Amino acid sequence: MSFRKRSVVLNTSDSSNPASTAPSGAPQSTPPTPPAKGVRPSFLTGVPTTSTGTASLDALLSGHEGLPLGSMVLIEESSTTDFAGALLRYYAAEGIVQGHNVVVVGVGEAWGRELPGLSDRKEDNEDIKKKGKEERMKIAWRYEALGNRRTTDSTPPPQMGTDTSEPVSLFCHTYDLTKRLTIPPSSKPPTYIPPPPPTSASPFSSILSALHTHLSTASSKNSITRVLIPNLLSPLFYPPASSHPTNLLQFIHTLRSLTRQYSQILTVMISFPLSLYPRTTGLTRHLEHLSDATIELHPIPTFLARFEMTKSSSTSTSADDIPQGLVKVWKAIEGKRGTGIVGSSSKGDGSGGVVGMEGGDDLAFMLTRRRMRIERFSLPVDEGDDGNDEHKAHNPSSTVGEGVGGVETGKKKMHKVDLEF
Amino acid sequence: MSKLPTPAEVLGPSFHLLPQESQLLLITSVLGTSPYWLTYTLLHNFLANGENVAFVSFTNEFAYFREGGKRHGLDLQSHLKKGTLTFIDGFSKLFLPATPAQPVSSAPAPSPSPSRVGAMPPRGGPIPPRGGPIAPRAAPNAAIPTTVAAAAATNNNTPDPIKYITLGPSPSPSAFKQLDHIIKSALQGVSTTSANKPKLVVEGLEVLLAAAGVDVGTVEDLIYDLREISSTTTILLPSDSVLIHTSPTSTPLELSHANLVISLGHTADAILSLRLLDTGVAKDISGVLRVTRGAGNLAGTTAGVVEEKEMLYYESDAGVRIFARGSGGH
Repeated sequence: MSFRKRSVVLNTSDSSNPASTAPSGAPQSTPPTPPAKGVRPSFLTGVPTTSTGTASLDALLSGHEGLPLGSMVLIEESSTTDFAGALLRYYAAEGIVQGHNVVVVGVGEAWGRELPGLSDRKEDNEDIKKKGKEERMKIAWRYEALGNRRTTDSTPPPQMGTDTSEPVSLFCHTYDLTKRLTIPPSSKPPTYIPPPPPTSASPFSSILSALHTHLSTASSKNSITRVLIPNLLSPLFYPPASSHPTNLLQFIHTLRSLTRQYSQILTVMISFPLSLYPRTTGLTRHLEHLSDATIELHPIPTFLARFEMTKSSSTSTSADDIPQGLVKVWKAIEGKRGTGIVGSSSKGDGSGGVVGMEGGDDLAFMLTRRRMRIERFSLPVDEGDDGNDEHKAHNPSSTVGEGVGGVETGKKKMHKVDLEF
Repeated sequence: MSKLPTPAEVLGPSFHLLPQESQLLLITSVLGTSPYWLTYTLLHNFLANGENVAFVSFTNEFAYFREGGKRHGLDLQSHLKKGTLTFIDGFSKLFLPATPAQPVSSAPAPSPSPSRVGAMPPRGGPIPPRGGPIAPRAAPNAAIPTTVAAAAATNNNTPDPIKYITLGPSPSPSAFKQLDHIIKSALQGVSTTSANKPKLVVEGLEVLLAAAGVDVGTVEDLIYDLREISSTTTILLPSDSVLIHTSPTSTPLELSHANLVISLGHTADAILSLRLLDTGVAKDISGVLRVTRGAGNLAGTTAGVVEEKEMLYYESDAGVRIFARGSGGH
């Protein structure tokens, strides 16, 4: 008190107080830099996150509603289909639209030519909103709490961006697989790192050194970087030596340390063919341990067949609602950085990552012309059941024909329930 | 800040038995159950009792544990500054080429890019001969005290309290000697400052086996050596059934991992294993914690016998809660 000059205005004297000036030199005087385009703080912890380009995948990430910067996601696919490729393309397209650095490893430029274009359908988003409202109406109030998680799921995070009040920047765009992305002038085209040469003792060293150069330039400019590794270890692109545990795991370990070193700009997404390297091998398990999140896409042939049928028959059931396979979250992104906690708050567990594990809520994915969605999946309910109606239940064990029929009856049943309310 | 269970809650009445002088505690976990809350419990217990702790990690950097500890009310940073905690980072630079005594500035770029890039392109091709670029093998020893981590070092005058382990891009047997040496010198540095030997916590040894290609024998030797100079040793390893259950078709990768875990299980005094619920995922249960007496804990040889038990635990924002099966989470 007595040390303070009486004549000085309190405010300024406060700031010239040695206690506060010492640390304030750098952090306080510089205004907080606005987050880069396409980056927003996590809903859960406030760490910066970026979108995966798939709204429902964002919703699956332990309540972060986005992929935290500095993390590495492994998408496994247990079939010869390429649904994981679609997820990766959305991720790449989102990066390009947002003006991020996109680095594609191992595959040629042809891969990048198939990036989906921005959807110009306004209904896409309105659709979702409307659906959410309808659901609200249908569900009796006492079930509303039950449906809550579901509703938050089907009204994806971009909603807050799409609210016309905020035309500035969308967090996650909607894409149309039938279109091709035209790279906006403000963005850079993706960079391609060629696959390792076929005869190489340490196949990943060239990729790593290329990544290092990219990242060091990117970090000096502080530009958000997305690294994509489609079909890691696919024999089409990678020499046999690359699947040697020492080579592969060293690469992944170094990649992991890179995500930590450049934790302010870097996210990595890898797709990995499980049909070649099943989850029962130690190699895959080590890979999963070293990644921050592991999601398996498990296409189911009968689902696929049913999907094709619905598409061709164009019946009342829209192809949008037929799942093509299940989604399993083997390792969820940690809810709080630095703890093992994987989203456990009421928001965090929204049908997503955590409970999506083995035996928990089943998740299914559906890829349509317009978008890829991941939703909760449940088996059909028995007679006299409560308002589980919105799940569009399917019975995986039934044959294709019966399956479609099952859907129809399921719908009728649903209406009956509605009438009772 | 969330609540951490006390060792008494984790271990029950036999908590005072563990971990005692010269004991080995093995913590195993599977994919989907994070063992770090147990680590924080232990660290908290050690540090609160004024013990010296040496923490070696091969899968995470210090910042990760600093943030995690902070959430549990454990200020690892200040312990690191005080010197009661020694952090040995085998993650950040493990497979980067050894950088000679050139202090790394705060810019994150120079540390990896010149090293890795520098090792390869000047040689004219993307294919470095195996074991080639690790010529300056003797360097890291001298380099370690001078490398300054951007994140950790708040004061430029003091050397980085974090020690780094570097094996180079293609590890050779000589590199492991180095590793042995680094950990040992760090531990001895701690023990000279105080009468007590440090408590040692090692996490991620599987990386050495799987990614660096070290054979099991070398890792076991390393562990035995380290146990000699530390007071108690805690080792964290994954124990997924895929990695543990071997079959005639198992690859060397799986065999060596199983080998290590099982042999450690047989020498350990107690094994704390975390696994997922066998019946599937539940909303209010994160997993199962099992306390098993290891072969090292024979009746009569130590102060008592570890009581075996199995409990459920639930990790939430509010902390970790441990409860008996059937008693519910509430």
